[in-house]
Amino acid sequence: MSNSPSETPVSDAELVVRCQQHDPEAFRLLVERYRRRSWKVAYNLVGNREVARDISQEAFVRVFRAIATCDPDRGFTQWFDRVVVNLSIDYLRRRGRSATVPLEVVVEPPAPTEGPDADLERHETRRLVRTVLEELPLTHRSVLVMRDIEGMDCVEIAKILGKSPGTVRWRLSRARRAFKRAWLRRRPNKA
Amino acid sequence: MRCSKCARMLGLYAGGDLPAKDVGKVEEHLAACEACRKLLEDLRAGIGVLRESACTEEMLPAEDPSYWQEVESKLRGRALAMESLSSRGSWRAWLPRIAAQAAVVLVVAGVVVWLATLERQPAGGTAEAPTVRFESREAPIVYYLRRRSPYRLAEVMAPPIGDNEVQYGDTGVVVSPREIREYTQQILPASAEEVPERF
Repeated sequence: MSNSPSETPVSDAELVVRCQQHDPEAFRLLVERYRRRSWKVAYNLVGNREVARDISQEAFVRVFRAIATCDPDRGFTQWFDRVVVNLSIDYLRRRGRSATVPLEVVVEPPAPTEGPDADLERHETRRLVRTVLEELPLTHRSVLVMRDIEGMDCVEIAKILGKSPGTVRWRLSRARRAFKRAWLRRRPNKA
Repeated sequence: MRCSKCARMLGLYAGGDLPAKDVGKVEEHLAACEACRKLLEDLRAGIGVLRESACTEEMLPAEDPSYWQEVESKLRGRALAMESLSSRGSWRAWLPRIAAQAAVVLVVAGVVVWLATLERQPAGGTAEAPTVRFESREAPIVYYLRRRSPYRLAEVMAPPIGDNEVQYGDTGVVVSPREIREYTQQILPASAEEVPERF
């Protein structure tokens, strides 16, 4: 995935080892380093800023409880992403079962301005994409977000979902075609 | 290749996820099929829209002081105060403590087994006269059934007289395994099978 926080001077592995060696400050540094990343991953999956923030914090609680089981040599990022994605999917499953929690589309403020029209256009596109994603089954939405938005490869997604890479590819193919159809229904001139 | 099969593969081809062995077949079909080329274009556009719409880290606040406070609060709410990190540690840190506890358990278990072995042996060694004495012929049978051990029986009945008879204590009473079996059959039929055929 892009924007890996692992490029900072103190490596993730070192921080994990320090956490395992009873250093609370190392845990605080891990939280600061991965705060925005976990928030972003969760947001791209659940589409709600506050829920995503809550999920990302819950992910750190899980990490805190299980830090002893983390193998620093195998990479903290992937392990942590798995926690965030699974929490997000759990949330979406719960929400799917609950009729009392409304679907919510909250779109982030656009990136630095390229002019009012461009900003408005981007804002509208994001809102529509989120709406279309919400229409897709969770199995489709999750692989689309992990592959096409988060940039994970199929093997990585398979590990997170506990499925075979072949199953993930099959879902991905169907999901892309489903997204394309739904998108064209809403924006026939834009795809 | 049919268009329906190509469409399934295009779902992967559009994002670079199609296995290499199938790429040639898809490209061969695309070269001859306008409809599939249009489908590929739409699929790529959809992927592009998804990527452009992604929330990036830059869109989230660079500073968020309350974030850490809320994480700490959640930890506290689950009785996971930050200070407890210092007593948690990895399994590697726990390893010496676990090994020491295991060693203590093994030593205690060894002592218990050793004491049990001592108890099984007649006082003063196996060659000496038994210390248990009985008042009747039934007594050794009951004693045997209580202890559930033929070695116990042999201890209290030393010395053996031949293979089939033993004398218990210094009472001069001789009892054979057959007699024990028969008597046991009368008083505790279910336990009769435990009496050995021969001492």
